[in-house]
Amino acid sequence: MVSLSVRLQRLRYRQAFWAWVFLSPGLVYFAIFLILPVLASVYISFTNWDILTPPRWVGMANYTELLQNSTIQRAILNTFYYAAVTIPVTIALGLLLALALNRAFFGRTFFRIIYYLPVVISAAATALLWMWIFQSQVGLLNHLLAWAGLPKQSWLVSPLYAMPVIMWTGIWQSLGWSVVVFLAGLQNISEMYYEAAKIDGADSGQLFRYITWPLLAPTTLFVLVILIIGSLQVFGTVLIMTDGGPLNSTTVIVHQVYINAFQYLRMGYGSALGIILFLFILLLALTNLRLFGSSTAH
Amino acid sequence: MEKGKTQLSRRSFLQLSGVLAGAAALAACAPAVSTGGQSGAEEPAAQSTALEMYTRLTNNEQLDTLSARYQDTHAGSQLTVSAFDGRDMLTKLTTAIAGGLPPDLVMIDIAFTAQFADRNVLMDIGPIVDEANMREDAFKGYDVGTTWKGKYISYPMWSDCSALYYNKKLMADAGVPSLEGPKSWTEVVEQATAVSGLGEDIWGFLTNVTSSGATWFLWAPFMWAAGGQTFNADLTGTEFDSPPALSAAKLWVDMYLAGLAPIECVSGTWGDVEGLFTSGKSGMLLSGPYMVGLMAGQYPELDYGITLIPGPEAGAASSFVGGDGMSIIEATRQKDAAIEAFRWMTDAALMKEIAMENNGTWIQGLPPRNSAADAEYLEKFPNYAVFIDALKVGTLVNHPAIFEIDKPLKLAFEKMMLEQVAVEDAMAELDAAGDEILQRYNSTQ
Repeated sequence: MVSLSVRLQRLRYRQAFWAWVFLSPGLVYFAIFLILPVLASVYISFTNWDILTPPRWVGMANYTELLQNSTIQRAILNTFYYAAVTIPVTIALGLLLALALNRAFFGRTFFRIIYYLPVVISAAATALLWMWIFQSQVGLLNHLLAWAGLPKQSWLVSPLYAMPVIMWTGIWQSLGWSVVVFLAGLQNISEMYYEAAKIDGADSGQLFRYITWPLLAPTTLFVLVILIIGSLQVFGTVLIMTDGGPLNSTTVIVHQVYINAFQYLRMGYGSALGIILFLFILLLALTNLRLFGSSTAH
Repeated sequence: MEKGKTQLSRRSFLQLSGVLAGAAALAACAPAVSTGGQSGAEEPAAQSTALEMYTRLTNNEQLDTLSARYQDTHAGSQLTVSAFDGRDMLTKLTTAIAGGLPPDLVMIDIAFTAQFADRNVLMDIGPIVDEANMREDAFKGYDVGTTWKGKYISYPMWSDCSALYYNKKLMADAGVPSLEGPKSWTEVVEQATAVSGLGEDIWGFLTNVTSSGATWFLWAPFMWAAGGQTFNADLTGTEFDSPPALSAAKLWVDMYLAGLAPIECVSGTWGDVEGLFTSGKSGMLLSGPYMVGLMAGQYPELDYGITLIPGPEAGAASSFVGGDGMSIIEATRQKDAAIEAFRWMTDAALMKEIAMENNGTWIQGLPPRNSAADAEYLEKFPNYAVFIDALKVGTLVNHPAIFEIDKPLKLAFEKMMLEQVAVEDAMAELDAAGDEILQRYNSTQ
C-alpha cells in the first residue's frame, strides 16, 4: 500500500507538471520574443554585423568606441538632462492636478478626460502638433508673442530652446498618465485618516504632509520608476521634431541606437549602446527601489 | 459499452486542449504560403509570375498605373509595388533580404545603392543595359552612381537634381540688372545682398542643412562646381579640407553670417525654408524639379526663374544628380521575369509617354534618359530644361558610407553657422570624421 506521504508527493508532482503545462504557452512566448532577443542583443553587441553579411566577433571594440565618441557622450548627457527635468515636473504637476481632480466639482469628469487625452495620442501626432505651435516663422506661439509685442523666438531651431521644447512635449504627453495613477493612489487612502486628523485640529497642509504624501509613497515610487524608464527611452518626438539637432543638442541615447543600427546598419554598435541604456535603467530602478522601497513598505 | 468509458473526463479534456493549443501555436509559427515567388516553392511558369518591387514612394499614382499596365501587357503576370516611407525603406529592404524573403526588384535612392551593392545583394545588370544600348542614353551625371566596383548595379529610373530658383520680382525690385539668375558666386552674393536689403523679413538666399541628405543635395554642387571632389581616388578618405570645399563652405557661411539667410537654413525643416520662398520672402532657393509642379499648382502668381548652381567663375556649374535607380535583387527566384519587368519599366518610350501625359513628371521627377527627355519633351516643358542640363553637368556621391558621413557634414555647417567656428577648423574636423568613417568601413569589409 502506498503511504500517504508518497501519495502527497505524487500529487505535488502532478500539480507542478500541469502548472508548467499551462504556463508553457506564456513562457514560450516570453522566451522567444523577450529573453532570446535580449541574449541575442548581448551577443550582437560584441560583433560587427550589418544584417546582410555574417557577424564578426570584435570583443569589446564597440563598447570602447562608443564611450570615446563625443556624439554618444552628448546623447547620454542629453538623455539624463531630459530625465532630470521631465520626471520631477511630471510628478509635481501630476500630483497637483490629481489633488485638484480628486475633489468634487462640476465638470470633473470632463477635465479628467482632457488631461488623459494626450496619453492616447501617438508620439508622431504629438510631435507634429507641437512643431506647428513652436514653428519659428508661422507658429502659433510666435504669433501670440508678436501679438503681445514680444520678439519671436527660434524655438526648435535654436540649440538653447530645442531641448526644453522637446521636454515640454514629453511632459504634456505623460502628464495625463501620471494624474490617473496619482488619482488611483489618492482614492485608496481611507477618509478615516483625514477625519481623525481633522478632529485633532490638523490644517490642510498638515493633512497633505502627514497623511497624503506618506500614504502616496508607493504610488509615487511606481510613477517615478515608470517615468525613469520612459524618459530614458525618449525617441519619437526627438526623431520627428529635431532629428537630434541643432548641434546635437537634442540627440538622445535611443536616437543614436536607431541611427547607428537602422541607418548605418551598425547592428553591433547599436546593440552595445542599447545594452548601456539597459544598464542605466536597471541601475536607476534598483537605486530607487533600494532608497525608497523600504519606506513604502507600509 | 459503459457510459463512463465513452465520456471525456475533465483531465482528458484539459490534456486534449493543451495538445490542440500547442499544435495551434506551432502551426501559427509555420511560414505562410506565399502567392509570390518568394516562398521557396518552385518557380512558376514563365507566363505566370508574381513579382514584387520595393519603393520609398508611398501613394505614387504613376507606380500604381505602371503596375496595372504591366499586368495588362503581360498576361498572367503580377507586379506588386510595396511602398515604404523613406526612413523605413532601407530597414525593410535589409531585413527582407536577410530574412530570405527579398523583393524581386527595388527602386532605391540612387545615392544609397552602393550600400547594397557592396553587400552583393544586387544583380550586375551591365549586360542587360548594354544589350539595349541604355548605358549611354542615361544622362551623364549618372555615370558615377550607377556602378560599384566594376558592376552596373542600378539604372536611373526617375531623376531629381538640384538647381537655383530665383524670384524675378524681388530681383527687379532690388535693382538686379539681369533677370537671368546669378552665373557666378560673386553674382550670387551681390544679388542676395541686394534682395536682402528690401526689408527685414526678406532674405537673399535660402538653403537647408537640416533635412537628411540636404547638405549633399544643395551644398556639394558648389564644391564640385569649384573643382572639388568628395572622396580621394581610392575612396580611402574625404576631401572636405581641399581649397574648393573650403571656398564653397565659406560662401554659404559668409552669406549666413552677413544676414542674407535665416536661421531656418541651418536648423529649420525643409518646409520652413520652402515656405519662405513660396511666400515671396526670398530672392533665391536651392531645390529640385518637384517645385516646378508645386508652384504651378499652388503659387501661380510667383514669377520665378531657374538657373544652374554656379561655380566661382561664370561658366562653371554643377548639380547633385539624384532620384531613384532600378535594381534587380540577386536572390530573386524569378530572374527572367524580373529582367523582363526591368526592361519594360526602364523603356524610354514608356517614360516619355507617361511624362508627356503628366505635365512632364515621370514617377516622382524627370525622365532620366536623353531619348525620353528629348527636344519634343523640352519644347512642351521648358521649365525643366535647366534641370535636364543639370543632369548632364552634375554628379553624385557614391559610397556605402555616405549616410554615415551625412551627420558630421550637417554638424560642421551647424558649427560654422551657429557657433561661428572657423571654416578651416570645422571643415578639417569634418574631413577627419569622414576619413575615420571610411577607414572603419573599409576595415570591416
